[in-house]
Formats: sequence, C-alpha cells, structure tokens
Amino acid sequence: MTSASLSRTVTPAPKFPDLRLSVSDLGLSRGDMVLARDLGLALGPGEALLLTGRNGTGKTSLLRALAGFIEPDTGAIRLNDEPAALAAADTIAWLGHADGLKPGETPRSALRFWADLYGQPRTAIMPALRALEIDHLIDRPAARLSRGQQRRCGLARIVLAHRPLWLLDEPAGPLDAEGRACLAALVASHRARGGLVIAATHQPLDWPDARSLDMGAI
Amino acid sequence: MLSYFANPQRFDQLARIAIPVFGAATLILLGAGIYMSFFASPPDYQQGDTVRIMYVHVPAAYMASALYAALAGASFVYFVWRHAIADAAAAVIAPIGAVFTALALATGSIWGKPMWGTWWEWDARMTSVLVLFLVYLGYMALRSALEDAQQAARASAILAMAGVINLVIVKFSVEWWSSLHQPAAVFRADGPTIHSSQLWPLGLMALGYTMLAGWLVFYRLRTRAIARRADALMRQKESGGRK
Amino acid sequence: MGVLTAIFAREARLAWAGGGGAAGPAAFFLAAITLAPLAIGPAADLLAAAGPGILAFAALLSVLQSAERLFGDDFSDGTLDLYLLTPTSLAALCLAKVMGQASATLWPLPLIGVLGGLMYGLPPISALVLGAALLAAIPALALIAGFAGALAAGIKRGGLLIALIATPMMVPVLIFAAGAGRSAFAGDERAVANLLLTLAISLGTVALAPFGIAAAVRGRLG
Repeated sequence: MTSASLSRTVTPAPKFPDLRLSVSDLGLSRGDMVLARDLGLALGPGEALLLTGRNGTGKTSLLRALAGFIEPDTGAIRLNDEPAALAAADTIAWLGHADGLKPGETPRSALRFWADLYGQPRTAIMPALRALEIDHLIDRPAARLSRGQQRRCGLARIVLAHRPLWLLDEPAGPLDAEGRACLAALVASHRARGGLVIAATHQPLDWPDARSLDMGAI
Repeated sequence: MLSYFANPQRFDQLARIAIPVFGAATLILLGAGIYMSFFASPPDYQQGDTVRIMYVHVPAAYMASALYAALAGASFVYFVWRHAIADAAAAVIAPIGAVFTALALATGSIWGKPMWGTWWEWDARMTSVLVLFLVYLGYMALRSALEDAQQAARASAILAMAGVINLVIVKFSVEWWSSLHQPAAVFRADGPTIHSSQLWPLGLMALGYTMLAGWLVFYRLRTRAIARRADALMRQKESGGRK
Repeated sequence: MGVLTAIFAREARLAWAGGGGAAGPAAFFLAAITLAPLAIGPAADLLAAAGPGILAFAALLSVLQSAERLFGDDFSDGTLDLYLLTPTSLAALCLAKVMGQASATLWPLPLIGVLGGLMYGLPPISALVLGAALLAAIPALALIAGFAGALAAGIKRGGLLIALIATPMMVPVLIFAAGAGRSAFAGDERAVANLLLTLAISLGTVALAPFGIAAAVRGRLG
C-alpha cells in the first residue's frame, strides 16, 4: 500500500521558479533570552534544512522569524533578494504546532476553505489527501480524527498551498512510521520540483542530503 | 532626540538631572500653589470657600487627559520606531495617569456635594472622566495579562492609540447624551466666570501637578531600569554559579 | 469563491456548527431583559422609560458574551498564523471574519429588541426604531468586541479583560442606539438623528477597526 501511494505522490508537477532564502547576521531574542546571534543561512532550490536542538533553544522562534511573524532584533531575511516579509505571503507554506482544524470541521470543508484562500483549484484537494493516505477520512469531523490524522490533514494543506518554501514545525511529531514515510516522500517530491524545506524537529528525520542546524550550539 | 536617549546610559544621565529638577520644581510650585489656593486667594462670591476644591480638582482632571495624551504619544513612538524607552514610558505613565484620574473623580465628587447637592452627577464632564478611568484600567489590565514583554508592548501600544480615537468620540457622544435631558441649573465653574484672583492659584497648581507627574514618570523609569539591571545581574550570577 | 466570501461563509458555518449559532447570544439577551423588570419593579411608566436603555445595554452584553471565542480559538489552533501568510490584506480578512460570525450569531438581537420593547410597554413605532438602532449598532459592537478579542487572544480567562477593554469603546454606540429608542418614546425629533449617528459610528468602525484588529493580531503573534 505504501509503495502504491508513493508512486502516486510523485506525479510530475511543474517546477517552481528558482527561490533562494538568505539569512544574514540574524539576532533573535525572546524577552531576555538570546536565541541566536549573527546567524547566517543560505538555502537554494531543492535544499532542505533541519533545525534541531533541545526544547527552548529557539527552533520555533527561528521558524516564526523566517515566516515574518517575529521581527528579528538584527539582521535580514531575504527571499530572492527581497525582504522576506514582503514575499512571504505567496511564497511560504506554514505548518505550525497546531493544524488549524476546527473540531466540527471535516477535512473536506477545511481544505476547500484553504484552497479558496490560497487561490488553488478544489480539484487539488483529493490528490493532496491521497498523498497522505487520508482520503477515506475526508468527511470525518476533525474532533474524531487522531492527532496523527490531523497532522496529515495539516500536511495535505501544505501540499495544497502550492508554495515553494515549506516551513514545518515538528512535522513528524504525532506521525506513525507510515506517516513519516508519506512525509519523507512529499518532501522529496517537493525538493525535486525545486522547492525548499525547513523543518524544526526534535526527532531525527531521515531526509537525504538534508543539512541540519543545531540551535543549541549557536 | 528620542533615539539619542534610547541609549540606556544616556537616559540614565538624563534621569539623574531630570529627577532633582522636577522634584524641586514640584515642591516649589505645589507649595506656592497650595498657599495661594487655601490662604492667599479670596473666597468665590457665589461658592464661598468651596471654590478652593477647584484648585485641586481642575489640575487633576487636566493631568488625567494630558497623561493619556503622553501615554498615546509614547505608544505611537514605540509602535513606529520600536524604541524600548518609549514603551517603558508608556508602562510607567499609565498607573500615574490612572491615579490622577481617580483624584479628579474623587475631588469632583467632593466638589459636587456642595455644588449640586449630590456626590455624583451624571454630567458630561464627569462621565467622560469616568470612561477615561476605565480606559486606563483596561490598558493596565491588558499589559499585566500578557507575559511576553514584546507582545505586551505591542498590544498595549495599539490599545492606547485606539483609545485616542475612542475618547474623542466618547467626549462628543457624552455631551450629546447629557444634552438630551437638561439638568437643573448648575454653576458653571469654568469658562468666563473665572476671576483673575483665581487664575493664579489655578495656574500654579496646574504647573505643580505637571512637574509632579514628570517627577514620578522619570523616577519610575529609572527605578524600572535599575530593577531590570538587577534582574540581569542576578541571572548572570546564577548561570555563572552553575558553571 | 472569493477569499473574503470564503472566510465570511466559513465563520458563519463554524458559528452555527460549533457554537450553537445565534442561540447563545439570543438566550443571554432574553434572560437579561427578563431579569431587569424583576429588579426594577413592574411599574409600567418606569419600565417604558427605562426600556430602550435596558435593551440596548443587554444587547451590548450579549455581544461581549461571545467575544472571547472570536479570536481566541483561531489564535490557539494556529489559524491566525495561516491568515498572515495569504496574499489578501489581513485587515480585510479580519473584517470578513468578524462580520461572518456576527451575521450568524447576532441576527436575533434586533428582533428580540423589538419584542422586548413591546414587553416593556413601548409603542410599536418606538420599539421598531429601537430594533433598527440595534441592527445599525451590531457592526460596531461586533468589531469592537473583535478588536478587544484580538488584543486578548489566547489569554486564559480573557473574557473579563475583553469586557474591560471593549466597554469604554462601546459607550458611543450605546448612547446613540439607546438614545434612538428613548427619543422615539419621548416623541423627540432626535430619534432619527440618533439612528443616523448609530449608523455613522458603525460605518466609522467598519472603516477603522479592521486595521486595529489586524495590528492587534500581528502584535499578538509576534
């Protein structure tokens, strides 16, 4: 079943236009805690970066700064030489620690809504759900989905968003082995299309050639 | 100028000068003002000695609004330029403003008893000041409810700025509201009936109150900065002890 | 579907599905106007004179009652983060969101207002004027509640804080909406002026509040 679904996820899709993320001299703090100082990063098409480190080392904060939610103290975050804050809205697909699902909502109605919001056709919903092997749950209210199933639904939204830069906060957290395989396949096909992936994770993720940055060490 | 004093050391230098200057001015002006208000000015021909309440009430009401304007101004500066000192000023001004507002309400009520025969009259001015008091309380409650310092600073700055628009509309609407029912004839304590012998103590008291507010603001800003530094030193010591 | 229509529809749908839709505010409003005469006493002339004010005030409280949920849920489940990363202006999204929820939950208030007016002994015309004033007041009340809700999003037991922030901002709407009912009852020609002023405040709030809400959301997420 896994292999069949994998072959389905690797449908030929158009490549993203080249995107480069560059971070220079980034200083980041929350309250009196300094999380990063003079941090530099560069990521090109097809590259992936894992942010690792113990709890409280600033993985989520760095991810939120990259998405433009937090203003860094110093330094600049650029997407193709444009300030990230300006380009973020049509470039970034965001998966936070929660999946934005309402208890009474089904994956179908939630993803229809997000398709409208992202300006994507609703026909893209089923393939996205199939890629995460939850197409059979499409009409089940989120309150009755397990945490792992909700996570898969969140990942389906990422696929649906069709954005070149994925920022994922603990994407594999509640996922089982099969779910992690789905995630790895999605990330691989996204990278093959020239997409970028940055994930904060406390568990090791086996993504080929993914660089990693230990937040505890900076 | 603001970005010049955004530097903590420079601010400290400024505060070292400002605190004694404001303090001395407060003592002199309030002393002279109180003497003028209570001893060296004649009783009003209509209100008698009750008029002396005006000298503590009107400046308090003026400070209540002036400090809100300062709060909103500091919030605006923080919101646009992100100067930490502006946020600290806003945080420090709010409780001082609230106390002056409470003082205005209390003295207004004490003045109202001999003037209107009731402790509280729902007239336009008193009601607006009461709403202003609620605005101060809401601001302080929001500030203390948000634990992340940066979020508290931003959210409360937005609230303080929105409060300006709100207070202007409240003032207009409350005047409209009180005009719907005409209260029995009330002394107009302000406006053209003020006699020049009342102007002196009133002016001195208003200036004295302003200096007092300035003194308190600078004093509390400096205290806040020192408390911050002490916290930082404490943390440094703790983490140093662990190593 | 357009982006704003989609948000409006989703908020309305969620309010119906998850929060009982209009039942909460309507029941609260009804309870408040039932209790007030029990506190004031049954004197008909007193009730008719106080009626418009009580009804407008009770409507205001009903709006506050659901304010905590408006942005609190979206804050804690990460939806607001996602709104920030869409090309549509956040202010417009917030306006659509608040209006979507308001249209699903607050529509009975003017109707109950008319009914309550009649129960308090207002002449039918005055009761209708009051109902119209409540209808005109709803956008302003909902958006002010939304602004306070966005500032206090995610704060535990934020309901009280939201009420404290929102009430001073609701003073003008309350004055004009209740004033319309009172003037209509007194046969005062200012009823229409009050009604228009209520509408003006609502329009002004529609124009300004979304930017305040958007700034509040940004501030709370940062």
